[in-house]
Parts: sequence; structure tokens; C-alpha cells
Amino acid sequence: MAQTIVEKILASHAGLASCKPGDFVVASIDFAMLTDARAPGAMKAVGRMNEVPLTFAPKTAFVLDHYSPPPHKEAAQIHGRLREFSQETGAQLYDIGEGICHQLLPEKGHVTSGDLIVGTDSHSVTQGAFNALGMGVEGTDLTAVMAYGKLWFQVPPTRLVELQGQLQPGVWAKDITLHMLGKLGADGANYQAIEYVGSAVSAMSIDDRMTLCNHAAELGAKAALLQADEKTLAWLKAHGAKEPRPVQADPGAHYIDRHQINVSALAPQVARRHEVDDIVDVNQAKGQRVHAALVGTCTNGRLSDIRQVAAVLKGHRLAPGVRMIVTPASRDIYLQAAREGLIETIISAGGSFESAGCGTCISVTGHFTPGDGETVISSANRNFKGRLGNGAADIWLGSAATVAASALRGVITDPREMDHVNWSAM
Amino acid sequence: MVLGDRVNTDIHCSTKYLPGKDNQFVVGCAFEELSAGFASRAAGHRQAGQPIVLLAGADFGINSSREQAAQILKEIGVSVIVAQSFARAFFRNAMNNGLALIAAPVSNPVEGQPITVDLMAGQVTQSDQVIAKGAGLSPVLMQIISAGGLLPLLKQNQGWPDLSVSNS
Repeated sequence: MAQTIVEKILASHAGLASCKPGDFVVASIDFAMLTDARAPGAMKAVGRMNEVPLTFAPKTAFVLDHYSPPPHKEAAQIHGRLREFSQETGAQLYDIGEGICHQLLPEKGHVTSGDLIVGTDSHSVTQGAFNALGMGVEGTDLTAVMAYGKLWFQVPPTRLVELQGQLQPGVWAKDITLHMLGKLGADGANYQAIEYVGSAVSAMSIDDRMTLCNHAAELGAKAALLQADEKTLAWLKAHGAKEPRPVQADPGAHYIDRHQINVSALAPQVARRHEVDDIVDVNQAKGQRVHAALVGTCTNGRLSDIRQVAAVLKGHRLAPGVRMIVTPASRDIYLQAAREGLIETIISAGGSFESAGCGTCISVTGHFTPGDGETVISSANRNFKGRLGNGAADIWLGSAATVAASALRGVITDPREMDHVNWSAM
Repeated sequence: MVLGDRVNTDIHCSTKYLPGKDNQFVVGCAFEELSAGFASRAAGHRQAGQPIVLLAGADFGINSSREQAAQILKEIGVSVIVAQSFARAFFRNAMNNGLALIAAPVSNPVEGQPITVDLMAGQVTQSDQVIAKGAGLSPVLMQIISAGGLLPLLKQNQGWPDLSVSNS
């Protein structure tokens, strides 16, 4: 039977020749991940298993990324318990400042093409960038995996999205994801798998491919998958991944629909306040004043994003009244940014850096809260009212380049207007 | 018992926005903003030993990922939820915690009237009228629900029972 990527990965991990959308399968997991944000629920679930040995624990990572560093006693207590729990079970611990779970999993060699990965966070779909099936699960699921290494799944249907043409300099994968949100709507791909193919995907860096798959979570997608190519294999090898087992869809595989999007004419996009799918071209938001610019998160906290910010700010200062906070997605990215002089450039321009982690994505981390009536432009994935802890502030979303250009001018700005930046060279 | 569309269980049935409170507290005030007196009516059914079937509209569990909500619903006495559609994280959390779900639009439900649910057929009847018909639960999910949840099933079987793929 001709199958899509998600069907093949689920079937092979469930010991089946094939499977189809709607089927329920029980599949073996290659690697699992728990974040500190979901730890209390997971620990309670584990408690209910008592004497069952958690034999899969060594193939599990506990990542302290949401509360990194802990903003209150409760978070610190959770961290303490996770540290003990990792010692007891042999699970791998990534302590504060190491980085965001979705970044660490591939960086530390835990993901390879063909893998089935589960994590207690919806952005587990990020792993699709490596041709691995990454899916979000909850505490009970994580416990079941730690004990028996398998989990049930309903096979999602797959949509094919072909990204044709070539992104213009200064336009990035984030602009594509925002465009998709505008087209399909938030949850427009609810419980579906999306396969992205096409010339624009092949041309993307691994950083941008991660953004492309990551932000599919806001479409409601259960999975977002790319094919593996030379870039994928080289990156995986450089990060100590196990031997990749690339999975390609069969000719004749069934897709519930096919979209073709020519990205050559795509302008930078922004999500307007409060709604992740209220999308406009950046030029329709011209003149919107911004007070704070946030760069980071699992969506856009990578080296490519920080380079974009440094390129815009080099030799300049932030617009009066604008603050900028940059949070690298991992310690390795932070170090590399330091080596390239990006940190000095951004700080000299008036920006600040935070400890690697989820940082300014959400207020519970304790990193940033806007004031009443303020407008934040962020490279994060969600902008619902109150996400940063103040319902009287507005959050707009854009690429790192858009965030940086906006911080420079003090109003939402098309990054292609930055004459001093040679976007083609990036 | 009946609720409307887009019920956010993180808000109305969890301690996410009630720091320091516990499950029991929420059992006493769940869904109050959506349906006044819900908690006390539910308590009445619980005390009379009547399992509760909750009927709702579209997107039940929207923007809610807390498993705790599914657990509290069970503590309230709900054993099945029939709704036009479910948010996916809620769907998974409910099944894993032994709370059965049927996705189907519900016509003319009557609050407080006895109701019959056939989980395998996905059919809901009230006063001899079929008020909802959707896909029945697959064998995998029936096993999980019958055991009271995923972890009870795994503990009881000391692992996954032998399940071949099943069609929904």
C-alpha cells in the first residue's frame, strides 16, 4: 500500500506492513522528553505506577527549560524532584541554561531520520525538520512510555504542501508559517500531518526547517514532516545522531489535499495582536508602534535568528523607548553567538540576553511582562491575549528579522528596508 | 448534563488559574460560569449513584491541555462525554484517564433526563430517541476505557495487551 511519511513511520514502529488514517496503532518510541512545565502531572502519573520499573527511562530526557532559571520556589522544588528522579531512573537531565527541549533533542544526538519521538509539549513537531515523527503527549503518556516504551496513536491524515520558488532575501520560514496560519487558520490542520516539499524547502537552512515544522503546532497539526536530504544528514552526523533511516512518501500515497504556494513573492508577514491567524503583510502594519522586541523560543531562537538581529542592529541603537530581549534556544547557540561577536553587537545596540531556555515566550517563565497599553513584537509562536502576563498589552508575531527591524525603527518595519543588511549573504 | 460550544476545561475544570487549590475544590465549582448550579446538580447525581453523561457542542476542551481536567471530570462523576467535536489534547487526555468520548453532534438533549450510551456503536439515546450517533470506540480505546485508563491497563497486563491494528 502506498503510504505517506507519517503512515510509514507509525506502521514500522507498530510492527505493521502499513496503516491508514483513522487506524489506532501501538507504536514503539525511539526517544521521549519531559519538560519542567509538565513535570508535576507526570510525577503524579509515575507515582501511580509504583513498583513498575521504568526501563525506558535512559531513552528519556528531562529538560528544565520553561522555568529556566526558576522564578519561584514551586518551580525550584519541581527542578529538585526532577534532578532526583533522573538520578533514580537513569533519565538524561538537561539542567537550567542548557536550552529548550526541542532544540536540545537534535543537538545532543537524540533524534535521527525515521525516528518516532514523543515529548510533553506540542512543539515536539519540530523534529519533523529531521524527517523524524515528533508528537506532543501528556504526563500519563510519558509515564506509559518510560515503563513500556510504547504508546497508542490514531494515524492522522496527511496534507501535502509544496513550497515552490525561492524566498526573497530578508524573508524567512517564519513568514511562510505565518502565511499558512492566515490561509488555513489556527487549528486549520487539526490532528493532521503536513508534509512540506519543494524548492523553497530544499533551499532552507536546518534552522529555518525547524521553524517551518515547529510552527505547524499552531495549525493544530499532529505532525509536520520534511524529507531528509544532504543537509539533514550532514547536520545529524555533526551532532552525533544515530544512523539515519530516511523515510520518503511512496509515489501514489494518499494525501487529503495538496497546496502549492509560490513563495517568491511572499513578503514578510506579521500576526496581529491576540490572534495567531490574523495575518497581514508587514507593510499593512507599518506605523504600528512597538515598545518591546523579543527574539527567541523554539520557533526562532537559533543562530540564524540571532545573526539576523545582529545584522540589523550592528552599529545602531534601538529606537528610543524600545527594549529588546534575546534568548538563545540553547547553550551551544549562546556560545556560538558569543564567538561570532553577535552578543556584543546586540548589547551595544541596547539589547539584553537571557539564559538559554523558553524565556520570553510565556509569562510563567518569569522573564518578561509588558506594561498596560504596550505593544510587543515577538519571534515566538503564540500571541493570545495575556500570554505574557498582561491582558492589557498586545503581542504581534514576526520573524527575527522583522522583530529586529521593528526594534530599530520603533515601529513595525519590513526587514527588506534595511539597506545596511545584505540579506542575500545570510 | 449539558454544556455549550468551545468549553475551555483548563479554565472551567482545572486549577490552572486557581493556584493553591486542589481537585476537590474544583469539583465543587466546575463549569459554574457556563452553567449555574452545575456542581451541585452533579453532586446530586453522584450521591444518587447515577453516572453522568455530559453533552456538549463543538471544540470541547479547546485550548486546554491539562490532564487534570479529565481527572476532575471523573471525580465529578462524568463517565462519558458526547460532543460535536473535541480538542485533540483533551481527547487524548480523556481516553488516557478512562473518560470515554463520543464525537457526534447532539440533537435536542434534555438536561437531567436518563440517557443510554453504547460506546462500541457510538450511539446515544434519550427517551427512546437517538440523540447522537458517531464512530464507536476502537478496540484499543475500549480496552483503555474498560481498565479505567492507560496506566491501569498497563499495570493490570504488565505491559501492552496484544492488540492488532484496529479501524476506527
